[in-house]
Amino acid sequence: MTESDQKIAKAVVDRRSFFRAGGGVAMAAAAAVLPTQEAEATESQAERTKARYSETDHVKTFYRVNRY
Amino acid sequence: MPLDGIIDEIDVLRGSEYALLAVLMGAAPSADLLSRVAGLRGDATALGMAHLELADAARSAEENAVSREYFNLFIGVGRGEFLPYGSWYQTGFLHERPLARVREDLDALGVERDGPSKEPEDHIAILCEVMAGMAQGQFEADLDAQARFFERHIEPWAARFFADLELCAAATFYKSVARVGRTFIELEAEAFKLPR
Repeated sequence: MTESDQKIAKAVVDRRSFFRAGGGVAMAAAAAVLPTQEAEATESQAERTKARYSETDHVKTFYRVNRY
Repeated sequence: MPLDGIIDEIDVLRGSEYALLAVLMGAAPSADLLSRVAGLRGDATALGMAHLELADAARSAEENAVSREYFNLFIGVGRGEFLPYGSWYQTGFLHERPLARVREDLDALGVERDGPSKEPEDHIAILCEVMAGMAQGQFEADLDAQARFFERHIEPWAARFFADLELCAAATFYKSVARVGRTFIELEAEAFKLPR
């Protein structure tokens, strides 16, 4: 390897050993928590804007009574 | 990407840690996510201990209570107790120069928003998501680019933010999230200072 490749390799090893000592095991645990894709909306756009008004009996009574 | 364009396994793990922080700070966790977080393992390192505390908190947490806690801490009526934005922490105002700098760098990375959210990009969850993407190779960014992004947009304020959150009386579940966040950000800051 060239000298700069050797320096890079040494730097990579340094980082690896730093993280191993500092929390490599811990970070592996975090990897197990998340599935590959975590992008779910709780409410879709259609759900947000759908019509919710409905003429139930209660509403019809209200209209009827309002005419008195 | 590091040596030979191969993603180092450590970087994949770093990405997972960032992704975990992003998903917890971006929205209140579902019951399913809480049960998965409750399975977090740890070891005797600072980060491992923080994980164990978070797992414990997740085990005793209830979805609705955590949802209310998230609302009170970060959304609120008017504003939450905390504004997890780089601009706020660095200037005292929202939508400031720090946000402009983040947008600049996201443009340069070719990263753009996917979805209807209008959240300013200097939100801690978005910054963590970007770091995760860079670490795991979804965005083209070698270690130097990752270090620059971290030093420019996260290092000046994120550890302080997490430390503040950790001390907040109103935070119970998120106290543990903050401990993981602070510990990991401090670890990253030190790691990026290693000679490259």
